[in-house]
Parts: sequence; structure tokens; C-alpha cells
Amino acid sequence: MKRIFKVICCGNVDDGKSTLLGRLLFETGSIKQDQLEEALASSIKTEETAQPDFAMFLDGLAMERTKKITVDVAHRYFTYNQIRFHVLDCPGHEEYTKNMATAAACADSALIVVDATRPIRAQTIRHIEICAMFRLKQVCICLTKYDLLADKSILKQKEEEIRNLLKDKDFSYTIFPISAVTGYNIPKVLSVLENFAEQSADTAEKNQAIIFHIQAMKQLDGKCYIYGKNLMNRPIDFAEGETFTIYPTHQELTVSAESASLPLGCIQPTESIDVNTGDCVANCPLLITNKFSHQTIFFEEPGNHLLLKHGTKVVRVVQLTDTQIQTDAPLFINNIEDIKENGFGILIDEITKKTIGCCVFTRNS
Amino acid sequence: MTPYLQQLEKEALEVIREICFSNRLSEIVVFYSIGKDSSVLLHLFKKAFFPFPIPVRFMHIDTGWKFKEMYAFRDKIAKQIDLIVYKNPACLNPYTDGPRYTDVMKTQALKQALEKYNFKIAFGGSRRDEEKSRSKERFVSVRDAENKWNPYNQNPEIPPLYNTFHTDKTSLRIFPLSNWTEVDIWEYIKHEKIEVVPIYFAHERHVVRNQSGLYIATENDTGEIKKVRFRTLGCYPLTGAVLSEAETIDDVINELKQTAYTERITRVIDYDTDFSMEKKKINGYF
Ligand SMILES: Nc1nc2c(ncn2[C@@H]2O[C@H](COP(=O)(O)OP(=O)(O)O)[C@@H](O)[C@H]2O)c(=O)[nH]1
Repeated sequence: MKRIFKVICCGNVDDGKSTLLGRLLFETGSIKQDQLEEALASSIKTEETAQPDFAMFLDGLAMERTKKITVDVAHRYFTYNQIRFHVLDCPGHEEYTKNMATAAACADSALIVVDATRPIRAQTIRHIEICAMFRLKQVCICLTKYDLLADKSILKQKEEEIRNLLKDKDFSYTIFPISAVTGYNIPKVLSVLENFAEQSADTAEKNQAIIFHIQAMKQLDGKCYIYGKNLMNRPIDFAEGETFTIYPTHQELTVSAESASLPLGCIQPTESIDVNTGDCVANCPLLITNKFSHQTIFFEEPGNHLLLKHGTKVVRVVQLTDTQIQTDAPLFINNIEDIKENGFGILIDEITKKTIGCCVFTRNS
Repeated sequence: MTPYLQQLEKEALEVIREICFSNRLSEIVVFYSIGKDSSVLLHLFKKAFFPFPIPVRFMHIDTGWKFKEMYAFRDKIAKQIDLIVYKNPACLNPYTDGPRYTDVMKTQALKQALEKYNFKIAFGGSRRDEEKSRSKERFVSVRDAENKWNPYNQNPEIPPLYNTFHTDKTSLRIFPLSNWTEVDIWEYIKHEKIEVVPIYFAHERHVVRNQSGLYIATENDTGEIKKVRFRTLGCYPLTGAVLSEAETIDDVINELKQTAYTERITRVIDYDTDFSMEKKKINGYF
């Protein structure tokens, strides 16, 4: 099996996300007999159909099933042509937008589900904006419930409306009609996702950037072990003799031969060096700054004491305006336009310790 | 290792290290259930801190009703790690005490143990694909002062940007294996040569069949001899066996790729009501 590819599935509530995802799970053989029986038992079956309600495979919480809404992101996995898909089924209700935003921040691409039988909803537009904010590159737009469409000529007009919404966005996208209930164009959805995954793997392969945020540094027998996480979405193999820059000190780090035998996320430099938790080891230029142009989604009303976490570093917010965040110490970032993975952070309330927002660092706002 | 397994490993190591390096080690515990997921979790903890020893304690919540092969395995593992064994003195019986058994001997026991040792951060080996409500879980899951889970208002999370903080009113449950499936667990066990309890592989044993599956025979009912294995391990009166010929890891992986059922069918605990796992989690279960 190749790498894992993360796809969010979003769109307005009731447009048909859960049904589509359930169908994809079903078609790829990811639904087992006991899950099928359970779904059949709780599906309200219409006259002749002995088919389960595909959405039943997705919603996981009691209230979600009784009220037939998705409150929180559900994580599901399926394998198709040797690619492991991790799908994040997002809520389509306005009040749960926070959960959709967090899913968008860690996804590789998006499936946007639009009900072809209804006018485009505010939440669909909002979800497109959020996908753009987190710089998702590939988007597949499914005009669903095709089977319910009496007048198929409406499709052209719907498509046009959506193309208009996407006009000034930096997406590569495909748009086509589907029906999750009859199965129309479901294989096409799978092949589009497969293409996205292949393209994204190619890009990842070519991308040599490593941005390794330090979690801890430990010494043993005069040797130094640096533990951290590489934000670039692939495991790293530090090659002997490779050199990196340490931020913020700009010291150079050379990887020792022993590093090859250490577990993932651990490097041993050739010489003892002075690094701290929150520092960063990278082979590409980073910005060292405590002033950020930003775009932020707040999950709740921000209080007066906020922390900003990025990588492994937590700093205090000293000033927050609509366009700028200033912190009491610098972070080692990239603007989201340049390196997406290193271009966002989370805001944490210092008192309640809740995550109350997610901000992307932008070139200029 | 295939790239996708490496991605899963990377993700797990990152969250383990980030939580442990940014909190007091004395308030951290790893729940150790003796099962395959716990074996993988233990292995990941060894890797996460290599070449240093694991800096945190492990804990087994015992009920007194585990398979004897599990106890033998646990005693062997206890020599490698700092393992606490906690058992609720109430000592209920799964055959006669019904649904209260799981609540008292598992959920309540878990809460008692956390309190006794003052643990605020507990790692567990649960996976999202195990059960519907678990598919909604976070890597870092916040619990309130009563150890309750609030599934409708969870902390938003963007891995690997974990919020590692808790307050004196909250505690954390951490699930590094969130994105692993049952097959991933076995592929990893194979690749890393991780030791697991032998009854995960097919063996002959006396079993009785009742309406929910194949169960280990008792003194009163010796049942019949069948070749079986266990897909999950827990308390033997509540854990079903599956008929199987899978004697090696490769056999197990092949069997799982073809099986028509999820591992949940072998666990009585999930099955009493449609949303029983969600209810148990809300009340403080893992
Ligand atoms: N006829 C038809 N109905 C659909 C289709 N997709 C979804 N639905 C129905 O639309 C309603 C909302 O779907 P659901 O998947 O729950 O929407 P969600 O809120 O976006 O997850 C349900 O009653 C579905 O059965 C489709 O392709 N054709």
C-alpha cells in the first residue's frame, strides 16, 4: 500500500455528504457484514429498496443518528487501488463550522458535495472559502442527487454558478453530477480521488523540504539526541552528512552516521549543539517573526489571555487585530502561500486551555 | 516498512513525545490492556524515547477475569516496564452481575486508579475504526473533573499541532493509534516483530456456543473442542472466539483481509445497546 491520502468531505447540511461517503466505503468493500446489518436495521427503508441508508455508516454519535445531523468530524478509512484514503466527514451545520475548519487544515484535498436540486447554500460557499484559506490544492465537486433532477438542464447553470465561486481561487478542480443513491458516477469519484492522490504523491516526492520542530533535546554519554516532528507530510530519513540550519540561532547542524539507526523523528548531530524545545531545524528558509499578518477562524469568542502554538513552540499573544497578531516571542514560520504545512497555528485560551481558534499566516492582508 | 505504515508510526511517535515532553512525567500513565494494541503502544513508547528508557508508568486495570494466557504474558512484560496493576476491590462477577460488571470493574476501576495515583494524562490504544463513537475521538481528548467525555463539544484539533495543556479541572486521554486499523496493527506487529499473547493465533480449545458467539467452556459446560483464535482480548466470559486456521501472522493478516465481520462482533461490551460505547465513554470509560 502506498501513502495515506487525506480527503475532507464537506458541503451544506443535508446536501448528501454522509450518503456519498457511505457509498464510497460500501463500493470499496470497507463495510463489513455486521455494520451492514446494523445499518439495514436502523435505516428507514422506502418501498422497494432493500438498500441500506448509506449515511448510517458515517454518523457515530447517538444525537447525530437520531437528529440526522453530523456534529463532529468522523474519520473513516478505505483502500482503493493500493491507496489508503483517510476521509474526514465534516459537519455541514453553521454552528459546527469549527470542526470542518480543523479537518480542512489537515487534509490533502476536498470533496465538496452540492445538492443539485436546490439553490447553493451559504454554508457551501463558506466551506469553499475555508478550503481556499488552508490552501487545499485539489477539489472535486459532486453535484449530487442527480436521480432527483427532473430537468437535467439545470445542471449547466449550477455548474456555472460554482465555477464562478471558484474563479479567483487557486484550486485545480473537477465538477460533475453524481447520485449516491443509484450509484451514478461513483466510480468517477473514486478515479478522481485516485488521480489527486497520485499527483499529490508526485509533488511530495519532489519536495525535499524538511521543517523539523524540536520537541526535546537529551544528552547521553556525550551524545546529543534531538526529538521532533517534521511538518512536511512524510516521514523523514536524515541522511548522514546532510546539513540543516537551526532556527533561531542560524547554527549549522550536520547529521551523524548513527542517525540512520535511530527511530523516526530523532536525529543525532555530529557535534554537541545548543538547541531548545520550540526551536526548528530546517533545510529551507523560514521567517523568524513575532508579527503576523493573519486570517483566523475563531471557534469561540477570544478572551484576553491567548497563547499561540505553532510547531512545538507556544508564545503569548500581546496584540490581536483583524489583520495582525503580535506575540511576546518569535515563531519560525512560513506564510501559508509559500509552505502550507508551516503556515498555520492554533490559538489557546491561557485560562481554560481550550483551543479557541486557528490562524493562517498570510503574506499580506 | 511501507510508506503508509511509516506515516502511522510517525504520527504516533509525535504525539507520544509531544505529550510526554511537555507535561510532568509523574502525572502521565499508559493504559496497558495486554492486548495487541497495547503491545503496539508499548513498542512505540520504547521507540519514542530510544535510547533512553520509557519515562512513564504503565497500568493494567485488572478484573480478575482475564485469560490465563494474558496473565502469563503480563508477568513477562512486567519485567520490562514500570507496571501498576489495579483491581477494584468490589470484585464483581461477569456471569452473575450483568451489565454492572463492566461499569464497576472497568469504568469505575479506571477512575479509582487515576485518582489514587493522581494521574492527569492517560494514554490508551483505542482506534477510531473500532466503533462508531470512537470514530469521533481526538488524539488528545479532554475529560472533565469527573473524567467524563463530552462528545458534542470536543476541543478542535489539527494534528500534529496538539494542544497539550490541561487545567486542574480537566484531564487528558491520548490515543496515538487513532488512525490505525486492525490490519495495520498486524502489519506493524509483523514488521517490527512485536510479541503478542499467543491465543491471537489459532489453537484448539473447549468452547461453547451461545446466541452471541463462541465462548470459553466452563466447569458446568465443557462444550466441544474447536480450532479458534481471538481477535480481541478482554475478560474471557465476555470475549468471543472465532473459528480460525490462522496460526501465523501472515495467516492472520490474510484472514482479516477476507473476513466479513469487524472485530466488534467478538466483544459483548459494545453490543448491549446501539450506543453503549458512547455511553460508557461519556461516563469515563476509555
Ligand atoms: N435521491 C437521492 N437522495 C440522496 C442522495 N444523496 C443523499 N440523499 C438524501 O439526502 C438526505 C441528506 O443526506 P445526508 O447524506 O444525510 O446529508 P449530509 O447532511 O450532507 O451528510 C438524506 O435523506 C439522503 O437519503 C442522492 O444521491 N439521491
